[in-house]
Amino acid sequence: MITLSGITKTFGYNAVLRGVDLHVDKGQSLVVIGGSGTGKSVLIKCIIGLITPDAGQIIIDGQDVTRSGHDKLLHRFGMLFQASALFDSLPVWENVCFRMLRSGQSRGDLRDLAAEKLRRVGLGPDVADKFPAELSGGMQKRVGLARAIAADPEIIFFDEPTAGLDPILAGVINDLIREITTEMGATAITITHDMSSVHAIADQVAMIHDGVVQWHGNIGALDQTDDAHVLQFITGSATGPIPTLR
Amino acid sequence: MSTGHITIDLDAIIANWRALDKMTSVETAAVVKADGYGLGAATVAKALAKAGARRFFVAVAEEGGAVRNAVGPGPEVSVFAGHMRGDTDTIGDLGLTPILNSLEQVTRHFDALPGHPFGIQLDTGMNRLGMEWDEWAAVAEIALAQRPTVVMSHLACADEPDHPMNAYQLDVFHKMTDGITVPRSLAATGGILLGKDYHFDLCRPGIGLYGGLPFTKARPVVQMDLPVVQIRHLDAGEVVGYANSWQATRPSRDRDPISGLRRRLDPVDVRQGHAILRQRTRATYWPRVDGLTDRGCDRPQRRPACVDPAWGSTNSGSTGRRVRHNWLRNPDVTWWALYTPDTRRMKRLLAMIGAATLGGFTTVGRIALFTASTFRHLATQPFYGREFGQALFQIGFLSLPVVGLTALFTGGALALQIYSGGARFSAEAVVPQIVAIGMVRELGPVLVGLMIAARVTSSIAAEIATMKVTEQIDALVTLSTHPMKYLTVPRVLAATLVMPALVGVGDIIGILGGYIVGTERLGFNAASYLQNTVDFLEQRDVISSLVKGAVFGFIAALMGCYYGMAAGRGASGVGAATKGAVVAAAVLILVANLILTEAFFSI
Ligand SMILES: Nc1ncnc2c1ncn2[C@@H]1O[C@H](COP(=O)(O)OP(=O)(O)OP(=O)(O)O)[C@@H](O)[C@H]1O
Ligand SMILES: [Mg+2]
Repeated sequence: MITLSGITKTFGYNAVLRGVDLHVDKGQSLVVIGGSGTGKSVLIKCIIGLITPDAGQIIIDGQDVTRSGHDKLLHRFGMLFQASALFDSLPVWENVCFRMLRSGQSRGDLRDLAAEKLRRVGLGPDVADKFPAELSGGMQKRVGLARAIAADPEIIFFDEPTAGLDPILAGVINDLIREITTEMGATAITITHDMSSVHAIADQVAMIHDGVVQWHGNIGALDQTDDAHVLQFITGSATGPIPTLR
Repeated sequence: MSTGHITIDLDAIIANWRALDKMTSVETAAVVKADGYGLGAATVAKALAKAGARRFFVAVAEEGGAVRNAVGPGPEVSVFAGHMRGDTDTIGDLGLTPILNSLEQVTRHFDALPGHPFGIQLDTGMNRLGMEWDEWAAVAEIALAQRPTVVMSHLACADEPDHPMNAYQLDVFHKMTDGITVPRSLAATGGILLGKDYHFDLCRPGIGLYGGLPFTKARPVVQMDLPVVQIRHLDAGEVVGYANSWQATRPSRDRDPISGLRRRLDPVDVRQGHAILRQRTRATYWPRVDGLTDRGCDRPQRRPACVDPAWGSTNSGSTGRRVRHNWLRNPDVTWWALYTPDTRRMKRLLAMIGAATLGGFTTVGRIALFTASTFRHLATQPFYGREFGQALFQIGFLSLPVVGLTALFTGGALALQIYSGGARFSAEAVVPQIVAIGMVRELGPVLVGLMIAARVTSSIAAEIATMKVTEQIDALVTLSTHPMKYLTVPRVLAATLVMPALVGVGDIIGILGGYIVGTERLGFNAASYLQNTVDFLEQRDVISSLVKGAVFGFIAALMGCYYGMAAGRGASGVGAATKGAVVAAAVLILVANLILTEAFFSI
């Protein structure tokens, strides 16, 4: 479904991605882990077309989007941004149904649809008419999640979906992501730092370090690996190949 | 052969770093200031990063770029000069770690880059850089709460192991820092050699890496092959060079390498056209750079220890990872730069002027492209009606009060001015006509244009820039919505369409202001005032006013959108975008006003 080869991206002097190769099959859930600032968000933005890589190739569903652009694919994507990125001039329900606002459906129907999507991320209907600025960070995150899945996309990107949520809600969100991939057959790429999320969501795990995919394998292989980077990440140890000053 | 060259042995630099690292049980950084002591900071840093160095020090933020580029994002690149005014962007963008030297720098850093890593330098008696007791006492608590990467100081006399200054500074450093939990660093090359007491948590050798004293066991790094232009005979007591900087203590033999070397490097001889002796010599030479409070264009180290004559041999067999510099073409070699006018500074100045000019052209070009793109998206589907409606309301309706007020007072003031000015040649009677012409042709459109630049341009720029920095624009794209269509087109179109109406209102209220002052204060007859105004105004005056309005509205909204979309990251990006947009809009409106006035009324 998605194949990356040799993706590089440098900001000024900061060589963030230095040749990333990655592959996800249709209907699979890939979880990307890696230290803060290693370029996970940048990687996702490259795939979705928000950032143009300096070199390398991105193939989505057989189309080389590196050159032809993403425009024709965008309606099949959904994305949750790390900082939610809700439109603060629109009420929550218009945020959730943003894609459908111009589809000709009545605003009343759309509002109901939004309430349904909000329920799936654990938000009551009263939230629908609020403005994003009136919500807590975790609530904003969940609205962002509802927006990402509102139009039933085929390919979904989640940038830290459970960061800032309490463990109970994190469990709800993990289940939701799992459900979207297993029941609806969507392909998902999720960034997370939360190891319990990794186990709940992932079919495949890729670890980014120093601008490349340091380790890639099935979720089952994650606990068996003796890769020093992965081990340090899982155990959260301060000593190891990953420096703590970043 | 009239130019020399220098061979830099990177393997030796790595070996020296490793050797110094072995002498301590703590982390060893590498100082690559002054362009890696003249040997090329990028090359040196890259080699040392490969060898395992994870922290680098440069003197000033400008040097950080080359090093960051060479070592990649991981390693820490610290700046001795700290966070100087104007360095914020460089430090932020390149992820540099400024070593803050004063209260002022601490304040600046915390203000401009909260949460960004930094170190602290204390002064323990050298009086070069760093905070002294009282300053440190004032900021220590706040600064330490932010977890600096290092708290450091520098030894003044570490080259001389027996010097009492060393123990004194060690004692002061202890007193200033004992009990803190942040990594501490005191030792550079000399400090490493002084022993374990001086090592603390981090050592940061500089000169030793490059084979310089006091690291006597260092592997030589730099080898110079250079031709001798002239060889002089010196008697004991004769002096050499600018300011008699060296005095021979014994008569020199014919081919004294020292005098030969000195003469060769002093361009005075060349200019005076002395006979040139074609003789090749080879010398091993350690350049020495004295960091930050340098005494300007100093000489290289004067100790004869730095010259190791090896006569008669030709070029060294440079193998392996050696880098060759042609030092006439490459003025980076420190001591060459020391002996010549500061060509690098001039080059940098030229480069800055060039970059600024280019930057100006780039902005003009980008705005032109942005305008073209706005028209393209205006002409194609979809059109966002709701957003257009909101923009009309925001730009048109909500601007009415401010437009009305400015026009009213200006019209009134105009009437007073014309009356008192006209009185000088008995032309008081023309007040209605001149107020009408002045308001409609000129002041109405310009005033309203500038008010809109202040009110609308700034709010558009701030809104879009905020959307940019909070990734809302990216989110639009992922939701199949083109930001130009959704944000720019509705606003620009609304401003262009609504501004003629605003200007019309402004014109009328301005005339009204004149009318009120004219009839209430200056004794004009109400009916004839209005009659004069209406009779005098031509259709062309009104049309020009409305056309100007449309153009100014277009400019105001376009600038807001352009600067908003081009905003940099963070809150400062929003501020800069707003400022840039308002200034650009105001200037362009005034320029466009002149051009349009010329177009309408030049005949
Ligand atoms: N638009 C940009 N301009 C300049 N530098 C950028 C930009 N976007 C990201 N970076 C830099 O790229 C690096 C990687 O950023 P990224 O956001 O991908 O990190 P991350 O792996 O997602 O980290 P985290 O887990 O903390 O979210 C950082 O050093 C960041 O400063
Ligand atoms: Mg991220």
